[in-house]
Amino acid sequence: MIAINNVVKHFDKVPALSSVSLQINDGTAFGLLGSNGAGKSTLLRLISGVYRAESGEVLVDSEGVYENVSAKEKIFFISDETAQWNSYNMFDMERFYKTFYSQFSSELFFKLQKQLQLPPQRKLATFSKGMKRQAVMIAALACRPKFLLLDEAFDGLDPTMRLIVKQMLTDAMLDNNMTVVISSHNLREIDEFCDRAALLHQGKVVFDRELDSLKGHIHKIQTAFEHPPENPHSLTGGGITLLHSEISGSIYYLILRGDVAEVEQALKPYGPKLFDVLPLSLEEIFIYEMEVLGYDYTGKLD
Amino acid sequence: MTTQASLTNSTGYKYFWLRIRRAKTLNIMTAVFALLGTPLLAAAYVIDAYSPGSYDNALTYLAVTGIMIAAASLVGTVALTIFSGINSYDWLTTRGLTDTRLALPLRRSHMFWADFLAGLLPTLLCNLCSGAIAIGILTVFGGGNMRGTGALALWSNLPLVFVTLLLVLIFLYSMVVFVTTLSGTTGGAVSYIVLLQILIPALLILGFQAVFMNVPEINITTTEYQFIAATSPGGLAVMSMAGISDTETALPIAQPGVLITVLLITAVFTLGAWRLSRRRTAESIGQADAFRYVHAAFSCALLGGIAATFALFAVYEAGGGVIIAMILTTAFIYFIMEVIAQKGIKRLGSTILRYVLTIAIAFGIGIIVPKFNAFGAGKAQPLLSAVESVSLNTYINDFHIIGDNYNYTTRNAGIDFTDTESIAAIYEAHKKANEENLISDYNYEYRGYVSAPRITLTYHLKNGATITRTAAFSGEAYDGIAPLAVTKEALDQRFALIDDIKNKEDFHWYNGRLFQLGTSDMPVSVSGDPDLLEELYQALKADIYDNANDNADKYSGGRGYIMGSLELDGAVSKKQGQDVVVTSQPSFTEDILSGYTRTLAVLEKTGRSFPDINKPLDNGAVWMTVYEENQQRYVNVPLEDNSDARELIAHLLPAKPGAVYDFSVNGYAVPPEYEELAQKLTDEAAVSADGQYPVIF
Repeated sequence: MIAINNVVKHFDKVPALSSVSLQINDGTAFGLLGSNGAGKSTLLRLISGVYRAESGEVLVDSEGVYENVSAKEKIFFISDETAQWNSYNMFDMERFYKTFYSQFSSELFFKLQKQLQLPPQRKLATFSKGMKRQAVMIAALACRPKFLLLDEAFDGLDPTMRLIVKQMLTDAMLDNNMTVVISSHNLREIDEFCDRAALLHQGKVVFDRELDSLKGHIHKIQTAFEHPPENPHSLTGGGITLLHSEISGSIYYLILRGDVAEVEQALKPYGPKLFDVLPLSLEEIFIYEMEVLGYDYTGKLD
Repeated sequence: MTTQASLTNSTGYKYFWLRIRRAKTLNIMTAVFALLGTPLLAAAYVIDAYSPGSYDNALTYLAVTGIMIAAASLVGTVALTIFSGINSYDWLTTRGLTDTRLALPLRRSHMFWADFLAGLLPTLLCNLCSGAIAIGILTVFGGGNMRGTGALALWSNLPLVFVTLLLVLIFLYSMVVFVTTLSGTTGGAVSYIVLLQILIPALLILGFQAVFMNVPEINITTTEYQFIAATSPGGLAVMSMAGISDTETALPIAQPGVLITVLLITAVFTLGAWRLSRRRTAESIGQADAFRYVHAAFSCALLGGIAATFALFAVYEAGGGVIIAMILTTAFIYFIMEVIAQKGIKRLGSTILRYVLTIAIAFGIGIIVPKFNAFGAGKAQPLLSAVESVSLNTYINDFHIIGDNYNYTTRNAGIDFTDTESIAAIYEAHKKANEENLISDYNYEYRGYVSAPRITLTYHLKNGATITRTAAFSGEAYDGIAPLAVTKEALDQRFALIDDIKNKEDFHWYNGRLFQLGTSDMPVSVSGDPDLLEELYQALKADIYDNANDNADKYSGGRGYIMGSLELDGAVSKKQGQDVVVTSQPSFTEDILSGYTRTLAVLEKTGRSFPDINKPLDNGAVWMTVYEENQQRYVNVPLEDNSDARELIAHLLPAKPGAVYDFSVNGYAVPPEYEELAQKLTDEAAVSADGQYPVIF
């Protein structure tokens, strides 16, 4: 299990993480969401022992990770950069990681390399960005870490390859009870792959929930009222929060956080003539949650 | 468990080998440069030792080519050592690498030492092997047969030379690693290398000079050389090369103080880098400075170094054009380094302000230092009582302080004066030169001198310090030091230089040429007999010593008794199998005065002699001395009404039939019909302003 307790980190006095606490259970696929500069990559570097927290603690199976070889051997961090591998070929990569990870499986490495049809003798400098990603992913899986940290992992992969890589990750999770932590801007990937996600904004955790629970807690309601409320924000209260509202003629589109039954109860005084609960994607949840925090596209365009 | 122990049996050990393997290309290049370096240098020296002295033979060309390739390879070795230091710690300056390396299950200490050794050991190993090969070449083929000061010194100091080479490389490598741990960018690391290597030692030396210049117990020059050698790898390399090329200068690391300091600084660099690499955070990647205050410290050092350079320049010499060039150059260097370190100028205003302030301070130093004689700067002289000796040196042919054209090197070697009176005379002459403050050698005329010789004086102080000054000496100032050429200590040093060559095995005189008055374009061969020429040399030497006063007079005023000059050509040869190879051809030229009775007597034996100026010539002409317009002793005489005199002059100057004429001596044979007039002119001639010279026209 990865436990992040009240972690604080600054860059040049600018807060990157402010008292962040998270818990990532074994065997889960955990998604890290957040705007640019929210602190996702910083958090991954803290978990992998690249950075050291100024205060608070990052524990991997109850051990501090910074400068802890045994804890680090359980972790593999794939950063968003791949240029460092340009002078390597697949054989070099295998030799490199074999040195550090006692669980490394050369057999698995070359099996995956053949599956993905990556030329083993060519330097990675000649690979496309997606091929480099695949190569690093192969190395990571061959190391058989307990915790795999992926920073923008699916960046550069074509749709087919995304599916393949996701399948590889799923297999590894099933075979080794591997925990995957993914930071990505591609919310569809997180939506499809992760079972839990946390949203970071300006170094703080906005939410940290199971995705099913998250989707069950935010609703997109299409409704029409006999007695429309003067201000839709008057709906907020009693465990319900209005995140977003749009009015088109007499039709209201409301994004509300809260229990569906409570929402329905709250709308009753206004005489709803229509009450449809529409499906909400993670992307929409992200946008509306961020809008509440003042991070919306209209503001950005202004 | 110690770090070293853990490296032998851990992931760190495997990582070390991984790094060695990764740097395969770099290591191959290191091996190639090492093999082309010292072994080729040794081979070139051996070839040179066996080649004839002249440059027009294949062996010499081969040796010279070998030396050039070896020198280029040694430069390559140094460049590769720098590159290796930076490359070993590439993960400190590249974001992707940092993430990859620091996320690995490996302690940072182990990573540091594995990287350190993986970068250093191949370099050391390659150069150790090449050193062994070079020693083998020199031992088998060189040794006692080698000639040339460089080769001999190399041979006699072989173990130290190679220890020095290895030490320079370790010193350089540790410095590079140290600065790499200080910076988050490669450019920043490179700019700090330049600072640590050049500017900071310059600053420290200046400070040392300022503090210890007036402490009698400390030998400034020696200490400065040691300081340069001990504080930077480049300094150690340069001082060591100077030691190799000069048999009398010991290699710096032979001095315990230098060796200990070098080892100490190397250890500080290495251990400092290790400590810093552990403390350093991954967040510093991409920033010019990995730690707070690093940029401020180096920026101060850089600007201080620039200011120091200006101040040092002020100590030795200054000129407007050069100062402007220096400002432009240092500004360029400063801005380039700032751009490299900061990856562009982020704070242009403060960068410019810093530089302007520095230059302003430097100018302040440049003006104040000479003005108040701080550090003994500018034109200022040391206290006369503090002077132990003075060396004089000149590049002007007219000023034969150490003899005529003995050879270029000897003429520039200078003569050291320790006699109190001589020192005082030089001191006074220098003072006069400073007062007259002549800037150019040209467009200056004083009593017939058409140039003011630029003379370099080096004061050796009693506290070991040396102060070197160069000044243009007017005729008057020049007269103050010219007679010193024939003082006993000057003559001793002059003849010691000649005798040093003469005492070499297989030296012999092979030619003598006499330049008589009036025949300067057509020297007369005196003799080819080495014994007779040696007799002539000894006679001339004895005459020079005996007639020191006449000689002094020759330089300081009257020039009347020079009869001509004698050039003796010598040769030093060595046997090369059946052949005899000439390795050097010194020559010696000296004026002959009328009082040189021994010399004149030996010349008589050779059948060569000078005309007696006291006897009429064959054509009835008689001798007299006049002073000619284009000579050094130009005398201006108003004799407008004397038509006879004008007729005589008109006769003498253009045609000079039968006259004996020399460039430097103005003896004329006056036709009988003008004898009376010439005598009258001489007798009644006005006297020059200083009362010394008869004035004729």
